[in-house]
Amino acid sequence: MKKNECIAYTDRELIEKSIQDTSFFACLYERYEAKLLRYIHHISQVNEEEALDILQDSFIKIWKNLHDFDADLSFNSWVYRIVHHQTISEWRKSVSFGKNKTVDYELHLKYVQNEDLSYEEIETEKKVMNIINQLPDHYKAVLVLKYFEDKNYIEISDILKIPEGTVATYLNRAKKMFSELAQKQHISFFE
Amino acid sequence: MNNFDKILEKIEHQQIEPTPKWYFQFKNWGFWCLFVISILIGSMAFSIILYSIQQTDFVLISHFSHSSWENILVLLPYFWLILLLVFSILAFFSFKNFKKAYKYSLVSILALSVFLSILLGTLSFISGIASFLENKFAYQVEIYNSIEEKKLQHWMQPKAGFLAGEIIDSKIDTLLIKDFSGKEWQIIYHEIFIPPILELENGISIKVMGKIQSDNIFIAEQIRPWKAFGGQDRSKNKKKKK
Repeated sequence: MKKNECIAYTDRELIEKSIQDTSFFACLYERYEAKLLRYIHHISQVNEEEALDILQDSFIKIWKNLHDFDADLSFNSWVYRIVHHQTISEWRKSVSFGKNKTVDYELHLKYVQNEDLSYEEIETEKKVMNIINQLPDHYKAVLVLKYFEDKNYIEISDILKIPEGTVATYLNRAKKMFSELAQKQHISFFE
Repeated sequence: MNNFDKILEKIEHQQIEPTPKWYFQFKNWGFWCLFVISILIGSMAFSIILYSIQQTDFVLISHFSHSSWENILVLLPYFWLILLLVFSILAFFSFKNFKKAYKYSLVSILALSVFLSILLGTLSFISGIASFLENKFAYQVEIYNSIEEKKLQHWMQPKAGFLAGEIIDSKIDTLLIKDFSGKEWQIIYHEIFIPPILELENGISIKVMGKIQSDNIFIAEQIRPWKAFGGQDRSKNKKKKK
């Protein structure tokens, strides 16, 4: 199926059609691939190959659970939820196996920004990611979803499966911790 | 080969099929059933705890030779408390498995489970279901020590100052009773408080607090009706266990 043919269908229609024809499932994959890879790189420090593996495993889970898709939820939130859990689980496994996880900023920037960035913007992005990566997973996730993925409170609640009130609390604490870390490390974003 | 082709290859090679819809529906339905059953059992346990509290002679605790706490611990309906706890936890976990459960905080889920158990339990207590259930349970389950049995054990300790039985003869300042083991006792009472609702007539079951004077003579300090409100009438409730 060609890309322009996929555009004609909504996510929900693609889910229904995927069960009969996997080429529609390919449409879903293509629609979300870039966003999800970016998200994986935001919340973990996996390399390119590992991120693709996570995405593969996530889409196999999505395939298996197509009938469990909740019509009250947006497909976007559902797919982010599955990828989030897969990423966190794989990331924790790899960290516990003692792999050396240093942030590859070049790789990160490849996914987080499509447009050309100025030198200052790249430096700021590196600083931001450096601090975000020092935050606990749950704080990191809410910050990334809110400010990098542009999700609202309801969507974050659906993705992380936590109450909206908890999203607000995490976000406040994450922002506070972020500025404390920035201060401690003498990092300023207003130079 | 792009990443999606790899996914497709894996799906085809391992013959991975989407899990059927009925499986998810069955799972959701199962959690709902578990939740409802847990709440019902939890509320039943709560109603019997209320019934047990009502039947406990708290006024007597201060008369015990042991400490009050020790006696409260003895009188607690442990079986029903454990049942309430287990089914409240089960209700909580089954609710947590509902699709939209994450929208609610842990505290509100716990509060909902407890509120439902208390509400249904209180209704069941008021309607008399609690005493009926407790009695049925005591009748059916061999090892279960019913509230009535606990009460009986407690009131069959004349040496400790607790005696209960049925009046077989009544005279001024003296009663003749047959305790629940069949032994006859002469109860001597003089200027003691007797609840106005209690008529000291033949066939009435009473509980007496006082001290033993000789083999079958008991000096009463307090006389109360055996049956508390909503409780079992000993004379009508001859429990038969197999």
